[in-house]
Amino acid sequence: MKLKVFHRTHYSYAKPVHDSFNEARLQPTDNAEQIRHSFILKVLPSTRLKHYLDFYVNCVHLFELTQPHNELTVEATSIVTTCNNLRLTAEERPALLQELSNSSELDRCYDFLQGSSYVDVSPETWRLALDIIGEETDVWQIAQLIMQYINREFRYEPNSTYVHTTMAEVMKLRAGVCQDFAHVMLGLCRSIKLPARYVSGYLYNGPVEQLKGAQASHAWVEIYITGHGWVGLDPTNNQPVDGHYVKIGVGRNYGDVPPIRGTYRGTQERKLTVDVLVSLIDELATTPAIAIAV
Amino acid sequence: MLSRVANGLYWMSRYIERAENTARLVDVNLQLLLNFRNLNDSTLAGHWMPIVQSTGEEEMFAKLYPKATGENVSEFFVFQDANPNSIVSCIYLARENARTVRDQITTEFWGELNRIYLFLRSPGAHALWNQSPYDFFLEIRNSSLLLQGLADATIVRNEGWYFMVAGRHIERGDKTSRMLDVRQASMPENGPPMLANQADALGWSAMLRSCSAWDAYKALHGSEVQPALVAEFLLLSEDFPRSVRFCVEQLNQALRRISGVAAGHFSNDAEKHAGRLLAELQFCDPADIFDHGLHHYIDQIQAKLDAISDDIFQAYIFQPFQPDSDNELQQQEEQQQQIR
Repeated sequence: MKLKVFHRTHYSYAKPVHDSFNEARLQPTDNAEQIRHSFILKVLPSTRLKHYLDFYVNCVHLFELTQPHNELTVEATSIVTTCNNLRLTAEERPALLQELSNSSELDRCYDFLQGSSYVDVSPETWRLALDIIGEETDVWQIAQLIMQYINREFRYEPNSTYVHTTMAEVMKLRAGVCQDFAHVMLGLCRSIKLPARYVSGYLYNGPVEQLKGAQASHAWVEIYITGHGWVGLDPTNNQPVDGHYVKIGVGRNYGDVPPIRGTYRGTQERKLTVDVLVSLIDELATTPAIAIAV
Repeated sequence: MLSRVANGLYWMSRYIERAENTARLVDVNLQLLLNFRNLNDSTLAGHWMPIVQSTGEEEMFAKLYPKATGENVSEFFVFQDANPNSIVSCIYLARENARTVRDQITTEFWGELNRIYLFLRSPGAHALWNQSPYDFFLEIRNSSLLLQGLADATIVRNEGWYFMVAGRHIERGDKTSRMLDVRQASMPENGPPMLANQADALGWSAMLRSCSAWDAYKALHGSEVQPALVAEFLLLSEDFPRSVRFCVEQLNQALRRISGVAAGHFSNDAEKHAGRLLAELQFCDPADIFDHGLHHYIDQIQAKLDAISDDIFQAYIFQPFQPDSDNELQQQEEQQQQIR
């Protein structure tokens, strides 16, 4: 479907701050599965924007504000067309988990099989994963089982965690938000050698009138299936990724794709407000072909 | 780009340009001596001292050498280690700067710079010098032009490139003005410079040849040298690539490519003063200059170019220390938390 995404991040500081250096990962991807028609990034106070591609080939915009300022507003507006077709149906059995260890494609997934700053792959995680999958041997079915487990066993509770909560803390708490659910799924998949990566983006969740609470950006997971590439699953909403999802970028965990990250010099008293609005332009529009995402 | 890297590229370019211009200056004036009928101490001093004075180095020269002979002056300008502006010193410093920014320049460029440095340090340099000074200076000039060509043909047009262009053109503008200043004896307090006699005419045409301007001048004004026109040509010509105005124009463009600011605007002192100097040169009559006094005007241009060089340093290279009171803090990050 054709969607318009508006994402405003507003920082306000009790006293003027200066020497602010920031990186924004807000630009949706543009490839066979998702066409980006336009992307406009506005920063106030206005400053020169530069951009580069990071290690995971996400487009990163850089800007700096050396002069004193009380407020920083970053607004990103994009128009994308996503793919309405599902990559795989629920029942399909595309590949065995065993096959992956024999495949040479594993080299590209090295980063996505290790623990990282938010995600651990300890023996306890591995034992839990084994319990969840039972006798199942197919990669896609295993991933769905893990996704369903998380959706069932963890409570979605805003404000129970914060932006730097790690997977270990979430496991103890048994609650969290999309970011945390994604981290848990990453841990479980990686512990059984199923390559999984963190995806940052947006979710279109219905017309504006049906909004439940403040919107924010969304996070989900992509797992690697031999012969099919990276396929998305959303543990928060217990569904595979379809045309409702707008993808920005991928990484090992939240730390690789925060929408905005930066440093500044000045006071610690500050406030962050985020507004996200995803609206529908055309429900039936879709991308022309399904290609293997790498 | 690191300030240190920008500084290295800027000075490397300046030193190479300085070496080339010094070679031009000494070469032509050595050749000129062939035209004199009798060479005694006073004619030699009269010939060489203005040249030493135009570079502003009379004091150091006087300390090192008792008399101003061709041999002493050439040695002072070419091989003297104690003179920071001698050709050998300039090439050495250019190479040092290039060494610290090795990854910004191509291998061919470094190869050529290293080659001329090693040549100057070898006995071959003195041998060539004794055998034929003309060939020696040709070697220096060709090396500098080769370096410029290599840079032009192979270096990516990034910020570093524009620092190189800025350095080269500040130096070239300054040195052109100094070459013009060699003829300061014929520059009155006000009024156009005068052509007193045949020897003077030779001097003026020699000075034009040292800027490689003889052919261009001839094409424009004919082969009879008129000092007022020469001064106008070297200072104000829009089209001659070694004129002071042309160099300041290139400098302005380079500065604006670095900062991204549009022509006609400025974002720092360097751009402001360079733009002002360019406007003065663009909207200037030769009569205005001569009323002011040509020698005095040249001095002012040199002072302004120096000031612009300082401004570049202040704007891009120099970083004052951070005050201790302000710590670096992390910007808050937003948690990703949307649900259907």
